[in-house]
Parts: sequence; structure tokens; C-alpha cells
Amino acid sequence: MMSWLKSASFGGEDVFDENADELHLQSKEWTSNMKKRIKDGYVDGVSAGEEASLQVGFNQGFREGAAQTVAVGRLKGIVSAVWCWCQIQHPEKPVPAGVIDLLQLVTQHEEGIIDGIRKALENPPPSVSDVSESMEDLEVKQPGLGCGGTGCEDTDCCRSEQKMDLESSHHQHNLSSEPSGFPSRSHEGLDLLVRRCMDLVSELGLPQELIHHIEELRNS
Amino acid sequence: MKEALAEVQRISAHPDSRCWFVSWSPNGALLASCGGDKAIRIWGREGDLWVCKTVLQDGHQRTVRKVAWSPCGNYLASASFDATTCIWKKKNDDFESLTVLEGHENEVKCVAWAPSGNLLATCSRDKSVWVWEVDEDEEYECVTVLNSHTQDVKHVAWHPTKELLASASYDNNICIYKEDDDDWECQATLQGHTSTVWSLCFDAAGERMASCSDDRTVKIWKEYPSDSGQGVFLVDSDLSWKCVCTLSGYHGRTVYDVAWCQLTGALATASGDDAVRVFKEDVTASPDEPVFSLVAQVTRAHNQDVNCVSWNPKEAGLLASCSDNGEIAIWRFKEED
Amino acid sequence: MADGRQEADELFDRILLADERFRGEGYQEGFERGTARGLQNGRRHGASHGAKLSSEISFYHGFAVTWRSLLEGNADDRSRKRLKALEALLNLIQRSPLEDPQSVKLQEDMEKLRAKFRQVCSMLNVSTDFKEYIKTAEGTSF
Repeated sequence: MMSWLKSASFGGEDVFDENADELHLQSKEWTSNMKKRIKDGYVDGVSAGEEASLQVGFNQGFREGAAQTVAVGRLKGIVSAVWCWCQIQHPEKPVPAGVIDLLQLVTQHEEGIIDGIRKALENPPPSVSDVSESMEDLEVKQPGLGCGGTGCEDTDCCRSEQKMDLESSHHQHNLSSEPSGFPSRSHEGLDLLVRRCMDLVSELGLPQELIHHIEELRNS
Repeated sequence: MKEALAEVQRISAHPDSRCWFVSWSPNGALLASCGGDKAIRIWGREGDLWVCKTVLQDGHQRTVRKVAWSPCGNYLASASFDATTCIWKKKNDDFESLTVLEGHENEVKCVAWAPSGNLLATCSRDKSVWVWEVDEDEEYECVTVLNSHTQDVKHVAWHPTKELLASASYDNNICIYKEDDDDWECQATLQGHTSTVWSLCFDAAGERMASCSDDRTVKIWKEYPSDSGQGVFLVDSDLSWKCVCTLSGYHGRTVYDVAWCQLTGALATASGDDAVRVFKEDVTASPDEPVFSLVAQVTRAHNQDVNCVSWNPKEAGLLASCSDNGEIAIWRFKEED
Repeated sequence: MADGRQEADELFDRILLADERFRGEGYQEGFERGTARGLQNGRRHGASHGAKLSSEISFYHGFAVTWRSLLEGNADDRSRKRLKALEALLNLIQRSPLEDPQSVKLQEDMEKLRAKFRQVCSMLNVSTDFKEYIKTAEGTSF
């Protein structure tokens, strides 16, 4: 603390030549101490921010994820029920191959969606960088104490502040502008399965009302 | 002690296997036993002795854990570790398999008939309690699946007069269920035991319930209307149950079963310490603070765990017990007058 | 001397202030990064859970709606009972709080839903091998 005091007291004042080396050293020490302060704050900030936002993110993702499996889940339920119906109505006959095939395809489609979400979970995009990496962006060059936080012109401390502002707004921009982030399975694929299911249900002579229910799953 | 338990008969009922449970028919004339040998045996009296009348085999692929008589005495239900419940119909002196109830994911631990005979409850290691309805065509249909326990459900018992069901579980709790607005709901969860609740039963009037546990205690629960100010376990229910008495210090090990004699009010217990005990209530004590005292015990009733005790419903003082060693013992509880 | 001390005090204060300010700047930056990261991580985990749970509930929905269509119009006692159970299942599905993953009732409601589905399967005499097939859906938990 004493060395900072010295260096700080000389900051912006005339300095005797013989003090220059020492001052340089002290200045370096000051810088490294301030860097450490920033780093400490940064680490605390990261965990506080993460803690504060995890549930919000979870809730958002939960709704997004839930929305992705509604149609395929319902279709799977419908085909499964048809499968049961065939088996119970005609226990002597095997369940029609069309029903078995479709059930398999729908199941695969659903697994594809869930796998896609899981993969996104395993490989987070590079926008989330870890502490050490981002610490390189933070630079503290000079002990410039002059401003005291109240609007100085162009001392380094304020420049670094500006830089951080820029960065953080950049992050925010990143976050809000990012599209869903999860690979969504093509609606085309599901629509095809829905159509197949409708055809199958008419072929089996099942109630019209059921066909309406299946139709609702198109473009949903 | 003025009272005593006298041995009437000892039977090797399920040799080289465990005898898990015994149940008297409603008229007291028959005793059904079941065990690890996958068999159910029906015992009837001949002279002074109980003899095997029939053996029900081939109904189950694994251990038969419990058996229960329908209130009319014409049906027998058996719960098995093979995940099914068998319904047997009495035909003259024999029984035929009527139907098999499937649905539980794994071991069925208990089965019990409601007093009306129209409902049947089953419970399982799959943590669920199922209620089945019987129609005129002897068809059984599941009317509810209750998932109120977080662990293996060990026992189910019906209230003697109302359509109220109680279940005991490995999660240390007792749940009370009632049909409400066309569906069955868990109405109260009774907490108090500190380990697995193995069994429970109601008294003759249905005002009290006895439960027994791996915590080596027996607890007596009394029903109170929830506005009586007597301490309520769950809000949002029109009645609740409060523990009014705990019998501790008597059992050296797990208490596996408790039976409340509907004729005499005597309470019998079966324990892992190989003993059978009988407790009687002090009639002068306040109903809110009942006092039970040990009046008879046989410390080596069996040479292994005693799994079950059951009072004959017609002949006061006649008690059956069964054990891990495959035996059934018949006892007579005598009170000095 | 008094002036010197005052000066030193002022300096000291300014240093403390700088100390705090740098820490604060780091904190602010970190907080924003942490928030972004928490949102991302939470979102991804949430998506996985949401997708699985919704898949399960949607399965029950499709299953129940189909059986209702198939049984409707049958006036016999047995069909009536089955239809009633299917309606009860659909009601539970409608009430399932998928919109609010933080709902304390979510777990409880899911248990009720799964229980009702098992009852319906039993009433419909749905064969065991089919149940085996849907096991993955049934066993979903969070």
C-alpha cells in the first residue's frame, strides 16, 4: 500500500530523475494490483450473474424445448393408440406393417429432435468464453488516478471503462439477436409423417374425427 | 400375568419356504396361508386340529405375499411378487382362478377388499396403490392409480365401514385415501414413524388405526374432525388422524404386523425378534390418551421372524401367526375373568 | 503537518476508491458475462427437460384423443367408464403446467398424470409388450 501511495502521490507531478526507475516499478506494481482487483471483481461478478440468470434461462429454454416436441409427441401417441387398437380388435392378425413402420418413423423423428437439443447442450456455441480468455480483453495500462471516476478526458482508466462498456453491450447484443440456437427438425419431415398417418387412419376405416385431430398437427 | 397365550397347534405349512401371511375367512371356518413356495394353502378344522383342505398352485410365478378373503367369503385374492393379483372363486370345497389383475410394474405387496366387496385395493413396490372395481359380471376394472408414496408400498387396509383406504410404505408414511368428486385422492399423509411402516389395521369401529414399523414401535392413530383443534396433520381435509399413543420398548426388532381383534379389542403384534405379543387397552384411560399394556407374550413363538398375526373373526382369542421358517402357529389368548 | 496528514488521507481515500472502482468494473463486466452464460446454460438444460416432458405429455394427449375417437358412440357400460377415464386424463393434460417449469405442483401433477395414464392403459387392456414399448415415455422424469 505504501508503494502505491508513493506512486500515486507522484502521479501527474514533476518527478526527480533518480526516482524514475523506482517509479516505473511502482507503477507496474500498481497496475498489476489493479488488474488483480478487476479480476477478483470479474470472477465474483461471473458467478453472481450466472446464479441470477440460470433459472431465467432454464425457464425460457424449457418453453422452447417443450414447444418442439408437442406435435411429434402427439403424433406418436396417436399412432401408438392405433397400434393398440389394431392389436386388440384383431388379436389373431399381426398389426399392419404400415402402422409399425409409421410408429418407428415417428419415434425416430422425435429422437432426432431430442438428440439435436442434447447435442446443443453438449457443445455450447463459442460465444460463451471462459474467464481466462476474456480476461485478455481487460487491460489496465496506467495508474491514472486523476479522474476519480468523475468524467476525465482521456486517461487510460476511463478508456478501459469505455472498452468494457462496449464489450458488455456487444455481449448483450449477441444474446438477444441470437436465433433459437437449437437445430430445429424440418417441419417438412413431420408434415410428411402427419400425412402418412392420415392416409393410414382412413385406410383402416377409423373415425373421421380422428383424422381431424391428426390434421391439426400440420404446420403446428 | 393373568393372561396367557397357549399354543393350540403348530403346522409346517410351507416347508422349506417362508410363510408370509395368514388370513381367516369371514366366518372364521377357514384359514388361508401363502408363502415363498408360490402356493396358497387353505386350512379347515377337523376335530381339534387344523388340516390342509386344498392347495392353490400354478396361480403365480413367484412368491405369494398376501391373501385376502372377500367379505362374502366366496372369493380369495392373492398378491404376488410376479406383479399380478389373482382372484380365486370358491366352488364347493375347491377354488378356481377367476381372473388375473395386471398393471403393477413389479412386486404386488398387498391386496385388500373393501367392506362392500365391490372394491379391491392393491399396492406394489412400484410405489403405487390401485383401486379396482368389481361389477356384476365379476369383471375387475381399475378405477384409480394413486402415486402418493415415494417408495415401496407395503400394506393396504380398508376402513371397516366407510370407503376409506389406508396404505403403509417404505417412505415411513401412512396415506389415507377417499373418493372425492369422482376420483380417489390422498386425503392425509400421516407422519410419525421413523422407518418403514410394515402394516396397519383399523379397530372395530374404525375410529382408530394401529400401525407398526421397522422403528420397533406400534402407533395408535385416532380420527379427529379437522376443526376439533386436536392437532391436524393436513389442512384441506374434513378429517384427520393424530397419533395418540406409541408403544415402544417392547419389541427388540422390526414389528412386521399388527392385528386388532374386532371382538375383544386386544392388539397382537408379530415381530422380527421371533415373538408374538398381545396388548390390552386400559379402559379407564382418556380416549385422547389411550394406554396399552403388554398382557401376554411368547418370546420364541417361532424360531425365525414372525411375519403376520391374525385374530379369528368369530372365535374370540383364537390367533394365528406365521413365520419365515414356513410354520403357522395357532394360539389361544386367555383372559382371566 | 496537519496539511500533510490531510493530503495523505485524501490520497489514501482516492486509492481506496480506485481499488473499489476497479473491482466494481471487473464485477460489472463479470456479471454481464455470467448472466449471458447462465442464460445460455440454463436455456440449454431447460430445453432438454422441456422437450422430454412435453414429449411425454403430448404422447398421452395423442393417445387419449385417439381412444376417445375410437370409443365414442359406444353406449355400453364398459366403454362409458373408459371414456370417462379418458376425459379425466385429458383434463389433467390440459391443466399440466408446462408453461411454468418452476411450478411447485409440476412434479405432483406429473405423478397424477402418469397414474391416470396407467389406469387408462389398464382399463383399455393395453397389452404388456406395448407398455414395454412406451416405457421410455413413461419413465421420463426430471
